Amino acid sequence: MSIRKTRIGRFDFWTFVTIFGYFIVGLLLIYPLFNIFKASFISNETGTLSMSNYVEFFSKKYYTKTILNSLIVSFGGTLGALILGVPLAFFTSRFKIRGKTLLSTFAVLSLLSPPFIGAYSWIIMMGNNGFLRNFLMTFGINLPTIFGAGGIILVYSLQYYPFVFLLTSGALSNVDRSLEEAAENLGAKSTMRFFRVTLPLVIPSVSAGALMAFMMSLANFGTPMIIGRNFHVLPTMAYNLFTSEIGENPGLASTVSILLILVSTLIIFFQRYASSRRKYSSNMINKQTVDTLHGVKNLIVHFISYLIVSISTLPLAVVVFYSFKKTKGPVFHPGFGLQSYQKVFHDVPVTITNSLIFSVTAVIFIVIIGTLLGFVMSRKKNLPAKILDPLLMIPYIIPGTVLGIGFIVAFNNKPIYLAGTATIIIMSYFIRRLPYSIRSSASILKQIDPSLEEAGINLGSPPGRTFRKVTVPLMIPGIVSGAIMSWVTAVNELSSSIVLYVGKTMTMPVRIYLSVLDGLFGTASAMATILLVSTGLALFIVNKFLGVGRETIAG
Amino acid sequence: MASIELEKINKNFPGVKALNSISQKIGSGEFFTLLGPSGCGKTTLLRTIAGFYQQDSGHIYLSDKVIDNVPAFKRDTGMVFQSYAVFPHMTVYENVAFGLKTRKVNDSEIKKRVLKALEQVHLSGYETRTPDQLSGGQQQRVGLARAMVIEPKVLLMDEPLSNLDAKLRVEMRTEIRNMQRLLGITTVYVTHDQEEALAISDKIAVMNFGVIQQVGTPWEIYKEPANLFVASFVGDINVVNGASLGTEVGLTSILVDKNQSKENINIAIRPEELSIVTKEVSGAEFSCIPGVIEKSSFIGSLIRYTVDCGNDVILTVELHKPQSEALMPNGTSIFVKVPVKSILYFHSETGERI
Repeated sequence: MSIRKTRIGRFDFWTFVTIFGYFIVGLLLIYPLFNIFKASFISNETGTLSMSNYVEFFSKKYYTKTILNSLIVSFGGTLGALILGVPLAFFTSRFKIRGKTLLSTFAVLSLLSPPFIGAYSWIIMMGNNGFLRNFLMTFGINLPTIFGAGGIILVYSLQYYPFVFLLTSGALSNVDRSLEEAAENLGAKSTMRFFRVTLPLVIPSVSAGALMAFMMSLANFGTPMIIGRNFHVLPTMAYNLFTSEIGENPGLASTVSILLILVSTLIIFFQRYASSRRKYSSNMINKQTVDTLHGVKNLIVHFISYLIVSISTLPLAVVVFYSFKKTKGPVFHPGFGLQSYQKVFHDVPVTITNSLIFSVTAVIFIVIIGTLLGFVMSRKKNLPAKILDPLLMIPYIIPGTVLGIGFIVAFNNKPIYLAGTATIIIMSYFIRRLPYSIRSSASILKQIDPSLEEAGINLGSPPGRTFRKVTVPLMIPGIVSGAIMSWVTAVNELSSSIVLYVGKTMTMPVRIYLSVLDGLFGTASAMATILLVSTGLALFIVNKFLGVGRETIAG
Repeated sequence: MASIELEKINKNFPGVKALNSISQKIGSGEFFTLLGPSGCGKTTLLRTIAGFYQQDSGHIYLSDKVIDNVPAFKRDTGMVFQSYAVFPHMTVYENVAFGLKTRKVNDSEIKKRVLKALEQVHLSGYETRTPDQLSGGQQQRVGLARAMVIEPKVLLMDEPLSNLDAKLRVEMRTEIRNMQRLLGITTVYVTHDQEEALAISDKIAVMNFGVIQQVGTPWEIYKEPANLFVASFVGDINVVNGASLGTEVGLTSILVDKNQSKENINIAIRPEELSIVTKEVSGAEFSCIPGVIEKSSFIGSLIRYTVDCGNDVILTVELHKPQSEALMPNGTSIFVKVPVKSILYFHSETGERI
């Protein structure tokens, strides 16, 4: 009987995965961020370390105003998203609405469509010569154009309300019906019941949805670029400072980036703090029922629900419609034709293959590494895993433009020279969408009883084999929905690829964006439609086979 | 078939001493039950034997071989889980075959053994079903077949019946016991249900606070509890401090016999040992305590009385096979007849049996 020391920790496969996770965070997040941070302290004129960029930023109203602008449109967009999302969630989860699945599919589609398609479509409708604006003008209704802060807020509201909608309806269907019945039994009328019992219970989810809407608005680059005109926000300012031919100023661009990260971090902490005291656990005993309304009430509820989804889907419909219009050069002509599509396949087929290759390559890595890291995050309770978890969520707070700038600053010099390559774009897709996959893997693992893995091990199957034979097959729905969400958001990605692309690595969203700027609305519409249809198909597959990946979308 | 020996096993979780120097031998072929309230360390001990937890110190021997550093998947134990842990993506057949496949048993042998195991758990014909087509009881049978089919050295069962409804629980425990006897496999069984433990075990270890309080046959555990915790956890028992009982002759003489002052002694007696009489009877074997019926409840096979004997002494009396004349209204003055031989004595501070 030998007396051996018992082992404290085991170096196994999962230790390796954890170390690899730290390597990814280090290389693709910390290193670029550190480079931006450093660059923000390097003076453009002297090239030495100084506070000059910060001094310059805060001394000129032209710059400081962008912070205020960013906050205005982000809060505005968030408020709009709440106004649209909460009622829609309440109506569809409590009342019988015909075509409910269709409504939520379209809502998700408008959420995941390329962020600037909405903006560009609104120009067609409500620009200086917009058809909707012209049409209304014949009735003497003179609406302002879409350009400026108001337009941006409108586009954000319509694009991001699905976050609020999805999270709130999820929470609403998880409120134990007994609680509402108890309120009723105690004499509360329906309005009081809603405001005193139901709403407070779903507030954490509402605020999580609002946070998502805020973060996306804050990081949005395409929309203010297209319809902002002279209204600058932090991401567009950073981009302009970083890329403009004249007066290029990477130091100041880095300063703007740092401030942008700072604002998003502060907002996250504020939301966490505000909702930390509002965590309710509930024992779901009585599931919610869906009431069938009658008469006027029924009509109103249907009308509002369909109105919200229709308005948010309208820009997409307009884009599809215009893609089939006859064109001659940049000009639309009456009648329909496929010239726009011919032009796309003739002139820029490479952008389609680029988009496809980049996004699929990124998704393959995302799936493999995200699944493994998701397992570590949800099953390993050791300290290194606990620290890694929030680090891997950093991409949520880094706007794409900032990450793009960071990548250029970091990987444009020895030891890593990647500027202008496909690799750098794939890497940016990978790191930005990795959290989706980690989240969806981790959340499906929560539903898988750890006893199943123990049973496999107990029956003599080593941990690696048990993971393959037992865990992975059970994770498939989460892995697939994570993969599709990653793919959809990667293929529609603009804000970091706009910084990272060169001619030969141009992707579809970049091409669409440039076409819009050049006034080539036909080709822009055709490409946007191609993106939309593939996005829609991918979502349809997820919905059909796995149910909407609510967790994945809303993090 | 194998014996298990635990030698000074310690296991700490943050802030809790889950296992406190556990030493115990479990004989080959024995049905050994770990019984205790939740948090007593019984599941921790089972999972340490299975290899899911690593003990902080101490040794585990399986058939006299130390297995401290043998990883869980090489320990050759068959575990049955509280949550069944039947693989939802596999059929019944694939579930039961899983352990044999990892052991690289050839297909025809696998088929033979799986079918036999399913027959033993009365699931013949269910091979192609998936777990979601099975009831809880059937799923647990799959779990049992899956654990047995690999012919493990020991069978480990972690509250396997606690998710089943009451009737099925009784049925299944008889089946488990019969099968264990048939196969003669060493079994460690965890439960918090004392009735289940008494019914099923060769030996029971009663645990509390990470310490084994007593090991014995079900009879010994119930009839000769080593301390007050065991006495009150396994079955109901009346516990009264010696000082509260006045100077009834019989009791006093016994207290004196034990060479202890009354205050240092708790006396305890099971409710079914007591009976109720309307007139005081005297004799060397009995002692009578006067009291008033405070409450009575009729639960079919017995009537349970709560009797107030004054001095804060409340006794529960169970009268089995009650006749109608036994129904007495609350407030009736009666005597509780105490058979002196059935009284158990415990030290009032340590709780140890005297």
